[in-house]
Amino acid sequence: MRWSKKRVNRLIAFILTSCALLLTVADPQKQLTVYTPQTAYSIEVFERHGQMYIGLLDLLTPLGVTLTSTRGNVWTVHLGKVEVRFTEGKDTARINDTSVDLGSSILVENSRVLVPLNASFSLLSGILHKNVDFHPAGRRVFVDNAGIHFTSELKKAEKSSLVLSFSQPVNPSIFQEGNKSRLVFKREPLISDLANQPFDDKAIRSLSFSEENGMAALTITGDTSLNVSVGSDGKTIVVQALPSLAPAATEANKAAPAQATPDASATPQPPQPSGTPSQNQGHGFAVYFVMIDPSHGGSDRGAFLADKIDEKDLTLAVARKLRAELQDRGIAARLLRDADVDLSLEQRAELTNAQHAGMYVAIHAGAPGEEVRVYTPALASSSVFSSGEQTHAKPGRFLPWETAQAAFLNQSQTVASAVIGELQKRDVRNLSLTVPMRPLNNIVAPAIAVELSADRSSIQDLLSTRIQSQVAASVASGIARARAQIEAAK
Amino acid sequence: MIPRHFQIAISLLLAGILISGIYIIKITHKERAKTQLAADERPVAPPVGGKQERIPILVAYDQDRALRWRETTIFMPEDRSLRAKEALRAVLAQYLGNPSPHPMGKGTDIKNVYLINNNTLVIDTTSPFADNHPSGILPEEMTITSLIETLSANLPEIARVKFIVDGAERETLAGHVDLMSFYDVSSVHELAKEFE
Repeated sequence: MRWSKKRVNRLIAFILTSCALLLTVADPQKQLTVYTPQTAYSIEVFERHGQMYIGLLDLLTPLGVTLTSTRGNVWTVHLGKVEVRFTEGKDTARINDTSVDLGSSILVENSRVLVPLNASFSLLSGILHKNVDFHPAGRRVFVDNAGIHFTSELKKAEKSSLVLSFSQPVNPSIFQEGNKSRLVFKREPLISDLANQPFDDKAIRSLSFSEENGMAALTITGDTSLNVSVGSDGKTIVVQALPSLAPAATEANKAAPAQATPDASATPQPPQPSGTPSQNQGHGFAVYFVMIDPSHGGSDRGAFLADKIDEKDLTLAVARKLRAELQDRGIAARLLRDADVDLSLEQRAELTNAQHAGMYVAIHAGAPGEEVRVYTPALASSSVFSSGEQTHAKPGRFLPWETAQAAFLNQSQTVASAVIGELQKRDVRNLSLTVPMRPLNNIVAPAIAVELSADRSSIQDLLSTRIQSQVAASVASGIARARAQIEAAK
Repeated sequence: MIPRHFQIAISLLLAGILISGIYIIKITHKERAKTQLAADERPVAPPVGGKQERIPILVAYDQDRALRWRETTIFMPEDRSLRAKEALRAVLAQYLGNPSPHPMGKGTDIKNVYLINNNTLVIDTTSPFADNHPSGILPEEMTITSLIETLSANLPEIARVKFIVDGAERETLAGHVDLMSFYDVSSVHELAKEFE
């Protein structure tokens, strides 16, 4: 039988359509998300013999647990003085001298130990000795009381609005499905007892909370399409009904990402150019914002400046002032920490990159020299700046951690120059330098560090509100100017 | 009239007191010298072979926020790793003196220097190098730059340098400057220019 060209084309079209259909109906990858006060991570869930399983090391390694030995079919892991032994085929594990029931037997596949999903609760609480809360239906685990709570308030007016207030900044992916807005929280440990809350309102009908596949979601149902605005501090989300659209326009909006706008306090934002980290990347929406990093914190006091003056306290005070100054200029800003808490350098970079910050500013304080020093990143282990020419990162899904900043060095320099310019305008002594410093080198956005410095004899001057405000205003003006320059260049 | 035997006894007694006094003064001096020696935290020069050489070292001056080239005379062995170690110790000796242009913590020293593939150097420092280093972007950057530039001036073939502390990796020197990466010497030349 001879195949005509027409028949071959039909066959190819059939195969392609079938593949597309299969991909559409295929289940998304099953996952479990673990939230701790410091971080959140998702791991793959496998189905074996009708049971859900997870990789043992996938679950424990991010928490600092290390595999210390494998003898035959016995696997031993350690965290501090806690030793846990797993034996292939057994349905119990031994944590020090205590036996823990895992519910089903331990599997080993290609040297990978799989434990039942439901055992994650007993394993984590036994190893970490911390409060662990497991939500099996949503496949979410909360360690050490990690959690973000929210309240909702319906403000009835001519144009009703639903105000959602969160205990910590959030950055959900927002999806519009007809007259429903869906806010998906993947990294945020959002918790609620709310299932479905109906409203006696024509425009906004209900709010529901659900947990599924390691994520939480808030669904707001309205009478028509809804408009979602994220507040500049990331802690408030306002949902409002859009005016009724012509049928054709409504149809066109179906299944499209929601059109979110900055909150009312913000001035109109220019559209996000393509390729920037804060741009809509097909899975939701993120507002352009500046991530301010009050360096150090918690047990890391930073530089010891004088009696009762630690760098960590000074950086937080200046960071708060900078946030206010940026907001006054219509630029959304977030603090990486707004309290005296520990955050590793890796976590600072990870949080900044994961939230797709438009810019990163680290605040430092130190000695010697009575001036404000503005640092741009210098990549210690790349030839990026040695040649004076910028080496762009190859486009791809992954970037080398050590040199993640490489593609943004020119933009970081633009920000530093603008800040220096503003400091000079205000007659503040300044110095521009480059430095091989973490986490600047790991940030996928324009990044600078600002250091307030004083000599030991005049270190008390750094506590002056006037000086701090002057520096914060200069940095904010510089950022506003640099942002405009960067956008214009694009 | 004092009897003769009484005079002799008193003379002997006075002579004994004098001798004891001299002995006590001598012992006190000896002990003071020992204490001073123990309090000196500067690295003790190891018994190195080789001839005396005048070498360039880049020294950090905190007050001026500048790095300046100086020359110092030290014994330099033939072996390249040992040469690197002695050059680095010469810089640290400047910082550990009193007064110091760039103070560093007591006990700071270079434990070992490992040469890899003829162009990569791993410098193993003592714990106080990082633990007692003044925290701050500028002082940390000046320390790293002055050490790497001194190395480069004395061993020009070195292209990459890495710091470890007491045999293990550290994330930062004292909370700021990166210690995880390998430093390209050519990149550090650029950093040094900013402190000229």
